Amino acid sequence: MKTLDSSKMQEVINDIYSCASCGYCRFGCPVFQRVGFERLAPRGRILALKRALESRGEIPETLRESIYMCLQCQNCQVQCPMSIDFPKIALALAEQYNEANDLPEGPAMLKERIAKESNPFGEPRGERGAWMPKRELVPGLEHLYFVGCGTSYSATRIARSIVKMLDDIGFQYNVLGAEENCCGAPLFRVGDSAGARKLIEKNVQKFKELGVKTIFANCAGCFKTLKHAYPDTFEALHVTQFLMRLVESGQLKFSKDLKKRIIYFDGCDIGRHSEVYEEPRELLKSIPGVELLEYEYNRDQAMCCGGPLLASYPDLAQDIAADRVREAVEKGAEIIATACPTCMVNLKRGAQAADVKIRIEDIPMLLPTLVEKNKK
Amino acid sequence: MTEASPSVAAPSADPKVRPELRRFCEIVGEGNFSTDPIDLYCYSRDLAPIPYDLLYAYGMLEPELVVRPRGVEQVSEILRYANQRRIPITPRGGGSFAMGGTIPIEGGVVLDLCGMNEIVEINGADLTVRVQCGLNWRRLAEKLAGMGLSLLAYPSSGVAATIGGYLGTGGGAGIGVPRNGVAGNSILSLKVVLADGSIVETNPWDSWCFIGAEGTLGVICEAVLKIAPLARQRCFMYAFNRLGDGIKALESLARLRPFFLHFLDRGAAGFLNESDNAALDEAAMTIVAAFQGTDRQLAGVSRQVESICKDGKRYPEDTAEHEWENRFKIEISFKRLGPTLMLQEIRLPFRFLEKAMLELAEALKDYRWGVQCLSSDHGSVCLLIYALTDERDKKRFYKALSLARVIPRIGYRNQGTVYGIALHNSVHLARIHPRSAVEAMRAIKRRFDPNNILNPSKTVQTRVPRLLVTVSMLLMERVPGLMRLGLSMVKFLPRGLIRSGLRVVGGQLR
Repeated sequence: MKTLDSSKMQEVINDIYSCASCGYCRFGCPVFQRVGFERLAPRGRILALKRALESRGEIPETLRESIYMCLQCQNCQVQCPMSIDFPKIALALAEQYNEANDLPEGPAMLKERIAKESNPFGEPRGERGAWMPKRELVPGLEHLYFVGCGTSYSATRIARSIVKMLDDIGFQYNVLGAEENCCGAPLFRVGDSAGARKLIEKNVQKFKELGVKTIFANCAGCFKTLKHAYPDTFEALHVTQFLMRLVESGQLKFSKDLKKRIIYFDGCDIGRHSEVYEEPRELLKSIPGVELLEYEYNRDQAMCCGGPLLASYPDLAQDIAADRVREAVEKGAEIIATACPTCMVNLKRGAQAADVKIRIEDIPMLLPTLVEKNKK
Repeated sequence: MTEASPSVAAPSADPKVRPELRRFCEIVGEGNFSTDPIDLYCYSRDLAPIPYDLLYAYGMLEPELVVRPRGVEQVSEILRYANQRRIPITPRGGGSFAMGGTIPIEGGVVLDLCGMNEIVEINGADLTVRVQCGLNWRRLAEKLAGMGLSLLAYPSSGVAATIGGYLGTGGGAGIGVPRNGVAGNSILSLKVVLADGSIVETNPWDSWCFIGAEGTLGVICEAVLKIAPLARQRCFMYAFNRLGDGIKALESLARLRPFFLHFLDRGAAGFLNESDNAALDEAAMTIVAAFQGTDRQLAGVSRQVESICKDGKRYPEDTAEHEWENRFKIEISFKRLGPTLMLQEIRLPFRFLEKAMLELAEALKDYRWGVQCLSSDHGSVCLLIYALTDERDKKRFYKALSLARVIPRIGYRNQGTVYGIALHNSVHLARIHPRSAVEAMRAIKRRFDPNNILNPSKTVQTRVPRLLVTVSMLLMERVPGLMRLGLSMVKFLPRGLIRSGLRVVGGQLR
């Protein structure tokens, strides 16, 4: 794509011109903090876009890479005095690259894999539920556990932990297994919102057939998408919110303690995008013996781990994660607890790169051995 | 997770660097230089929305390379080589100043210092901190606060501004300045690389040579700053319906040496209400002050503040606290209402503030405008004057650009001056400093940088003759359409011709 169609940028044009070029966005941009050049900071990208809009839409070749290297972590919006939603600008542009069929290699491959196997890894569709013991779908159950692609194929220990824990306390819910489709989040990122909506329709159809009212997801990306892009006829919860409800209602009790200094890592999709900050912390604090630590920059100020670039720029993603691991070690943490499989996987790679020995676990993985069993 | 796609090569690897410049790339190493067209464009800009046509008419050359050195030795090597080859070097910090200081107007190499951002040593016993100058102020302030320590003076733009950038541009107004004086007062030593590559470590007195020199005399690489134990603090916020009452209170509050002293005029408060739902009284002046001290001192201050501000309406203390907490959030959310913001900064003595405010009201009557102020030291204030416009409406925008002439003139008329010189204000040099001082400054520049490689055509070098600028500004004010047309034609002239023309009429180009 050589030129920008400014008519398709109308929704974000005021944001583009509202940028003051103050550079506050750079403070919270992990990609900029690592690479250090303006073309990879929201300010630089906006300057390039403004110039394109003023020169008959001609865009430099390198803008594409710069746009797809945005983590969509939204920290820049928190830092920005004008609260400019840069991720929205990036997505508007990504839509144009997608329409022009001019995607970088990583996103193009991801799109192809989702079309074929309904997951971004190209793993066989039929094996989506291979991690779990065979279970039947029960129509009419109020709750559904949405597992997501990353957890289904890779971070399966998280899913097994959740299922074990809920089965141990006798909680009834459905899991779609092979009938679950990708939630659509990766396609939104690529700029293929039409493709994402098709996936959403397929999933919604299933939810309706089963009569689902509440969906809980352990993947923060799935949770964000379920919360913001799916019909609000279903209640979308992150698994930490859901488990915290069970703790509050007395259905989930911890019979053992965990004497550890745990630092909670605020993922961007559960945090800034969905504004869920307290429930994961409350859940961790409800475990006897846990000492909860905080990052220097936490909640809406938290720095992204770089996870969204895991597939397309693995080295950069790992370097960013290494910074987050070092920060946790500096605070004296023994365990980094995440609420998103992508954060967990990427932080583990970061720890390896930083040559640091520290336990990195998704919150549900910490719980099964501590839960008081209550089998009906 | 499964491997999805191969890693992409480091984006800045570029074989197209001109042979003469390759040495710079070798010095900083792979991943620390860029010739990407987006980078070259971004590193040619700062905060001010100056149209590209105007910079072209200034005879601007494009930079060829951006380098990010990782330490003082690399900076030294870069300058030594640049000096031998007479290659212009433009040092750059956070790029959050609006006077064109970081615009590489003579082309060459941009020296982005933000990669040098380490806190080298915090000495809690001696109350000093040694930092690299690409570090940003917010990060340092928060790190120190976590250890029960505080900076003496730092800029309100500290989320973007770097240590070196604030010092280089003078550090004349900011948080802590009303109490501890300008930023230069807290400098114990600077490590500076001179144009020939030599590294000097200054004492507190010599440091002043480089503070406010806007990168024209040397590159500030490290600083040793005095710090203080984090003190208890109380915040106050008052609204005054009469400007005169507000100014009187402001002046008296400044005498109590607050750590933070800030005001908004009616326009700025209105903007914040509109864009931020701020629920402020749209009073003639809203003052926020924060004082530090022991509980006993603060109790005394509190009584004095109440007495000084008896004509004002007091806001609850948590609202005042909130303003303090947001001290880094430069309050320009209202830029969206423009969406282009013309920003001018002038420094004035208190006693001329009321007159200047009235003159500003008259000069800006065709605009939506507002004023915020950060108190400086020695009884002066630094006014940030905002006027909204829309750069997409070129005629209106070019007229608004003429405020760059109108507002500083209000400053000069009222015993004031501009805040920073760099590129845009160098034309007013003769109004800012007496002729003898300008001559002395130029002699210093020649002595420090005989080959004129460091941030050339800035600060003491009037790039475009004053008469030409005055006439252009007047034309922008009166016939903006014509000026726009003229400037859009200029871009069809070869750069060489423009530069020769500017030289003929007395412009100081490199």
